[in-house]
Amino acid sequence: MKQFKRGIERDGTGFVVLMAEEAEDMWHIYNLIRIGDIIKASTIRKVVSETSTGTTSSQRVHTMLTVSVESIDFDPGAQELHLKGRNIEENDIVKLGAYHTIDLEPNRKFTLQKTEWDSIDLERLNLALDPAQAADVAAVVLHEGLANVCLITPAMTLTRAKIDMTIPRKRKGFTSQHEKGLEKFYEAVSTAFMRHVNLQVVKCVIVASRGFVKDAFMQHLIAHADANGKKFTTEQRAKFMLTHSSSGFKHALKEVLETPQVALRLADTKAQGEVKALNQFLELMSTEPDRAFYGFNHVNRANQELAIETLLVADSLFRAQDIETRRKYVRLVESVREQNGKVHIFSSMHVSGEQLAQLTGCAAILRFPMPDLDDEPMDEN
Amino acid sequence: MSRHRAIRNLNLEDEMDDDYDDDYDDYEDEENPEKQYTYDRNSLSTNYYTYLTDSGRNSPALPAPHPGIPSSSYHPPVSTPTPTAAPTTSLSSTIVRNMTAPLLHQNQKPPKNLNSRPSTPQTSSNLNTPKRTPQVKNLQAESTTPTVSRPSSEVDLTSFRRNQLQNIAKAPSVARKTPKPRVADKDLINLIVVGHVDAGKSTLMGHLLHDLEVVDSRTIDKFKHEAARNGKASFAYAWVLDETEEERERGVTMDIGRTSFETSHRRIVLLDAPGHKDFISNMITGTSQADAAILVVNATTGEFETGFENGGQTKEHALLLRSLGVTQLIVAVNKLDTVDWSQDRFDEIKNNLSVFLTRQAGFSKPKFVPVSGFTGENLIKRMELDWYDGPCLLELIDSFVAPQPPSDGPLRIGISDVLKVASNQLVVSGKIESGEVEKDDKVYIMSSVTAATVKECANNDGSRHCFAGDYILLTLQGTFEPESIQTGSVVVRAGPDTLIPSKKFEVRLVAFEIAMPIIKGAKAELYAHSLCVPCTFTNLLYTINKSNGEILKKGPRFIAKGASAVVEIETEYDIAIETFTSCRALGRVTFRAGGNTIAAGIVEKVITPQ
Ligand SMILES: Nc1nc2c(ncn2[C@@H]2O[C@H](COP(=O)(O)OP(=O)(O)OP(=O)(O)O)[C@@H](O)[C@H]2O)c(=O)[nH]1
Ligand SMILES: [Mg+2]
Repeated sequence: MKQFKRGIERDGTGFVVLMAEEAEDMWHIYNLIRIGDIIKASTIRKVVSETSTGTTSSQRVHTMLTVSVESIDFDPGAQELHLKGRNIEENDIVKLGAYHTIDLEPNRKFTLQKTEWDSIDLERLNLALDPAQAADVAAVVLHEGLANVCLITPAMTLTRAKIDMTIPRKRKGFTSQHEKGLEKFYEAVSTAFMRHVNLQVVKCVIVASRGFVKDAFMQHLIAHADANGKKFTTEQRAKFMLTHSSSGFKHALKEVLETPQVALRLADTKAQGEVKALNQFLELMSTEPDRAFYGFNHVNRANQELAIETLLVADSLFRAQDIETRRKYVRLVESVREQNGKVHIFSSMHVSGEQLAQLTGCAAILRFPMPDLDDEPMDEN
Repeated sequence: MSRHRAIRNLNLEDEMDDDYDDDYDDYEDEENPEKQYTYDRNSLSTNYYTYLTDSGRNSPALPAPHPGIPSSSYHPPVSTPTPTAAPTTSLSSTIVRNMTAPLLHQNQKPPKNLNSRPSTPQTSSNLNTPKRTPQVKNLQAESTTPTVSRPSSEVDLTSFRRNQLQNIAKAPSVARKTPKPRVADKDLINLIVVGHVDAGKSTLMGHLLHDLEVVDSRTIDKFKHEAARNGKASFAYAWVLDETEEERERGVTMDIGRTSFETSHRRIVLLDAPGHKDFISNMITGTSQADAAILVVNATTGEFETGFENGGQTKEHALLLRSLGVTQLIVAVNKLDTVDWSQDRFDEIKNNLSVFLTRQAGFSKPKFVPVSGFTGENLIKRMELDWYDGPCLLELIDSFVAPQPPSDGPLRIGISDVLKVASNQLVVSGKIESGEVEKDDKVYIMSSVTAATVKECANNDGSRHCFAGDYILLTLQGTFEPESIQTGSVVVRAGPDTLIPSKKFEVRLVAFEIAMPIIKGAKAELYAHSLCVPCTFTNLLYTINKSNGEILKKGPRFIAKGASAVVEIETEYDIAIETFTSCRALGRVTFRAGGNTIAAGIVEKVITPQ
């Protein structure tokens, strides 16, 4: 992400001028913008004009608009952010108070103004501006008939293609249908892989399956690349890493990221740190459940007792529609940090973040057991 | 349409036509033996799997839950016939992604004629598009995460679907011609062979089939010759069941090998399961169709222990058998030739296993038999041993008791294999779990809610009127989409006892020996009949005291290993399962995560969206 200007006051009001450079940045922007924020960007407006004879003609006009955001819609696959709001600065083309939708996408400059930049916002902004971010990792998880071709960026796991085919089972005397089915499947996955994974760019490629599927697929992929005049170089081949996964479902990525071999290679990715923290929490839950709690009520109570060692929060909570919910969690994070607790803000776009979100989005590992908490209600819901 | 099929194999038709025809003949070459059911009530054991699976497949039609457990109210699948739109965004997004033109048409057509003429093509447009070109759907151009994006304008396909289902349920059930009970001279047993990898399952059964002359010597000689050439000489008998090139090359069974033979009093459909941990999903599919089992263990020094201890499949397989409702068990202590037919070894294994099988897994009377699948002792002929004069393997198989399948119940065919998908015809195979079916029956495929007509059906013996318990080959006619059918679909009839698919269920389960507890939000794969689908534990309702069935804690934070609980789950898309009380085979579920079985249970309630 590029920042052109930053004017944030001590009291938290102010603006930044930004430009997204890649998909990842759009995700950060999505997490920065909230309802009530003000966005200024160039956009296209359809202008309908009426001639003296009464015929109308419409024209597309470029204009600079400033809107107060009323709805936010993010499409991570298409890397687009659609913001709808009312115009708040009079302009020749658009009336004050008129509705307009601004589409943000990479390489489009815009100004974001807020009445309150809180600590989580600033953290997110700095993260987005940090150029030292790890490169992307591609992953193919598969089992007979199902494959997910994914791209793992620091903040997101994007499914680029999902291949789902029914493969006839082996049957007495008719194994050829099964084998033909498998061949077709590998071919489809190879085609999707070549289309969606840029081997020049990704840091490494994880191919994971149970049984021999990964090996068979790898063989097929190499042959496929060869046949299509895209023979892998030695350097490219070295990027591949074959490992075990119990299935080809997307959630199997979690176990893939946990395997020591993969962990070693991806050492510092955010996805991995999150998987680790979540696992620690889950392990504790089976060995020492009085030190592992989830749900805002329990976690907040633990925090009041200064008991939190590690806090796990899903970033979706900070996107909450109502400001109070966000504030509540911002306060929690700040308070845990003040007490030297560790805070992991999980990306809801990773598999582990998805799971945390299901687990109320908020969990904590405690410094000491608090058995009494168990008797209190966990959450409103 | 319930399932997101980004790509489907539509040109299957061309490739399979010829094979398929030959194949059909295979199913027709025998007489039409009739069937007679016997029935045996196994005594209830007290272990904790008991109340989930109660007395297994051989018990009376109504389940007898654990005495201590407050028995759940009976929930027929159509008890809530007023479903409306599912509120979940993920479902709608699934539909969005599936919005190919033909599908959209199909869904927008008024449902009124679906009941009266289920075979009427619902779409004309897809007849013109039997082969779709874009094979791999490019997700880049679409929303990939339903939780983030809010699809703005979309047709409410869900409520349409709910309406359609309501109408199907409301349709009067057509009176059946009295199903002539098949009077068979021999009972049918679906028999699964399980055990740790390399225990010798395939070799044992291959050798047995050879001894029974189901497989002739010429074939065996050929296998011996070819196997030897590949440096796999010892696998010659296994090749009878390990038929794919890959299985033979690697010397492992990867998917169920299915064949049949007869004993003096039984017809046996043999299912040879893979033992390797990676292929347990296939083992589960096979077991869900089985009435009885042979557990093969390797007597070779050190090998029994490997299979039995942590990480071995012996225990997991045994527990799976039990939670999938198989109660009759033979334990074949195999490879005794490698330990000089030592009685001590046999007894050691027998004692160790008996304790586990009866106390933990809850089998009442497992029968142990010493064998060698490789050298062939004690398979079809009693062998002379000074310490064993019991029955040989074949005699034990002959004494299995056939279940009493509810053939007068509603039609339920669990589809386990899809052989051909064309726009107007499907060829599939599966097991009839309840009811009966014959040519020209009007049926529905769930969970896709697709109308079809039975064009042909035949069981193993070539019988054209097929009953519960039969594994059949089925040809359906209608108008189909690639996602109309898949393994795990269920064929049903319209009427009040139809099956209403859902994605939310209340499940009573027992957690296995898991390293991490089950918590809210945890993801797992749900297995039920031939189905495997990702699911989430959306709510932990309460934990149960296993000895008296009382509620221990409401809203527990987690379910620890060995604990028993009632939970709410949500699957990734609508699936066709129902309460255990409505149909046992479709009400048993198993949960796996990270390659391990984490829990098994029964469906107590189907939660249809209000
Ligand atoms: N000595 C001896 N070897 C045996 C016996 N039974 C099987 N084997 C050998 O054990 C090896 C594995 O046999 P399989 O029949 O493939 O074992 P399996 O249990 O079917 O294996 P999976 O299906 O892959 O789990 C082969 O080399 C067999 O020859 C036996 O009774 N005695
Ligand atoms: Mg085998």
